[in-house]
Amino acid sequence: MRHKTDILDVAARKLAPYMFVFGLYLVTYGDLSPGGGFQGGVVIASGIILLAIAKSVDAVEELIPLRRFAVAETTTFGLLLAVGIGGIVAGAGFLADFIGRGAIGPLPAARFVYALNILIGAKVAAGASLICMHLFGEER
Amino acid sequence: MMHGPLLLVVVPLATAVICSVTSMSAKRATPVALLAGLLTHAGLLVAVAIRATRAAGLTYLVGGWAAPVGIVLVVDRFAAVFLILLAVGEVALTVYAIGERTVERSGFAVLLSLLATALSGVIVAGDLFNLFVFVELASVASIGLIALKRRDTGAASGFVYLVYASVSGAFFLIAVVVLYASTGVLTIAEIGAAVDSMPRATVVICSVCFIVSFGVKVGMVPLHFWQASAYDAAGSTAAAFLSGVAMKVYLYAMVRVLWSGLDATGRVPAVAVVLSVAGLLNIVVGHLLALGERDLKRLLAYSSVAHVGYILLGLGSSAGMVGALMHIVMHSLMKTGLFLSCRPIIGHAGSSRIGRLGGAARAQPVAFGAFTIAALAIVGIPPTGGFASKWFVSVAAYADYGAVPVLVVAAGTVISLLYYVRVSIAALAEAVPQPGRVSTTRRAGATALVVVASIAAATLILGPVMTRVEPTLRHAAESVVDRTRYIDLVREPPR
Repeated sequence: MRHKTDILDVAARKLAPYMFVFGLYLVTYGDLSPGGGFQGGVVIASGIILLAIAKSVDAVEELIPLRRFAVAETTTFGLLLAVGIGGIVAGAGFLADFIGRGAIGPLPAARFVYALNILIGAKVAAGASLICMHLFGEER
Repeated sequence: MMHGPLLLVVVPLATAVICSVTSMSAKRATPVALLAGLLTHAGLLVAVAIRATRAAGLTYLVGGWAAPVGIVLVVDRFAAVFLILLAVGEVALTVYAIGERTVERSGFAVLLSLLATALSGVIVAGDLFNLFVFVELASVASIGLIALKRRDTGAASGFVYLVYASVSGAFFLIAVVVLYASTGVLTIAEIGAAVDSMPRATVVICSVCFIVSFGVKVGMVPLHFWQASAYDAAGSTAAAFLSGVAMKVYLYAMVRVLWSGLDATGRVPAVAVVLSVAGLLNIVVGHLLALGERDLKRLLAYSSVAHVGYILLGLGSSAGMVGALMHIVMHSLMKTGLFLSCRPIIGHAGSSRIGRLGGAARAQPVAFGAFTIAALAIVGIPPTGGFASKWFVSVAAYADYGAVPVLVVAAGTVISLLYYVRVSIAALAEAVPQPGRVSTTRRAGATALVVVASIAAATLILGPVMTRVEPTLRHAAESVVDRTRYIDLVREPPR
């Protein structure tokens, strides 16, 4: 990146952690409030992409190697499929809830959807960042 | 087995994930994972097809939600034929690719499993939304396979196909929007039940959109321009699957929405005429382009364009569904055989230019023999299966449109004989020493030759036994021509 300013650098570094936290919030509260795995994952990815744009792809790669993104994406996808097949094994059908619902105080806890949201969030965050990293990397 | 139709999509998807993990960590395990995954998938395909044929159809409600709200997967007798085609194509290709080490190309195993996922999804999808998603997934996987082999020409051909596929997707979406606005459902069977009260103009618009959309995918003239460069860039192995199987599945989807969904030929008789005329145009243009072609792989691609024509001609004739289905089965086998057997020949010559094939027949006798048998079948020489299917299409077309289509079919046969004989003569000629020629001295592996030889044998055998296969195909054709069967299957699923 050629035209870098201190403002951009500082703003991106201060903003990115909040985006990560907000993304994690969307993922983990998706079963109770607006949000969910996909939405939260995209927000997390946009934090990573912000860092890549404001700093550089290399800086992000130093933080988390791209290979780890790829491993995370395929692993979570595999786990997601495994959970789906788990539903069939449990005799309920593909992706059916085989854990059952619990409660946190007065709130219902959709434990199955919660687990799926976390898997989907991780997959989407890794996948979306990976696509953008590769596209940015093309320019080098 | 209760979850059969769903597992058809899940198993190859899981194979894709496993292959992508092994390609990152343990490269040697990739062929094993691919073979195990796709053989399981092929077994499931055959099992589901047999069950669907015996029970006159299967429906599967994903999550237990019934049709208009939930996702319904449907396999009727018509779909069962395509499940079998997919199983045969995918086993042949996997074994061949492992034998020829194509599978070691980075990404090949993942993309092949994804394409198998998408094609199974297209076949079992009971609603337009899932059909759309799986068709798009198939496009993405195809683009990957096209662009995989060579960096420059592959990327260019892949991009051309990407543009064509986007146009195709746009037309599909327009039709979906119009149908959803006028019926409020996306399930194909529900649309089929509501189509009688739909204005005729809506049926016309949607039919045209679907024909253009799938016309791009199957290479209907003048939407065929991507095909030659794509098959040329893709490499013979991937091209065999794209032309031999993927194209047939797109034809299946077109028939499914036009017949089961829209009752297009019933409500608008002109659709049948359009399909027939498009078929004749494809036959003439495809064969002439192939005749003028100097490159073997591009020649095979243009021959595909021509043979889509025979299938469309069958679809456009009132009694032609059986013939079309027969030609779909035969062309799938013949084109897979041609593409797979031309790889060792091209590999020996070091070039796919027909003029440089000299000496290839002597160096690769098994591959050349299989190529000749498949070529004879595709030309339509009796007693091969290619003759039988062309015969059924011609008879059906004669009943509706008189002698003209039969003459076109005959002319196409003569032209195709000319260009396949030209290829054979070139390959039989003595090798002409050429400066700067890179000949890969490596002989084709035994596994590959076994695959190629068995496909050639199948094209030969299917001719005489076609009378045995015909009743099965006739039942399959009836289950799509008689629309109420499909609609009843989804609306009142058998317990």
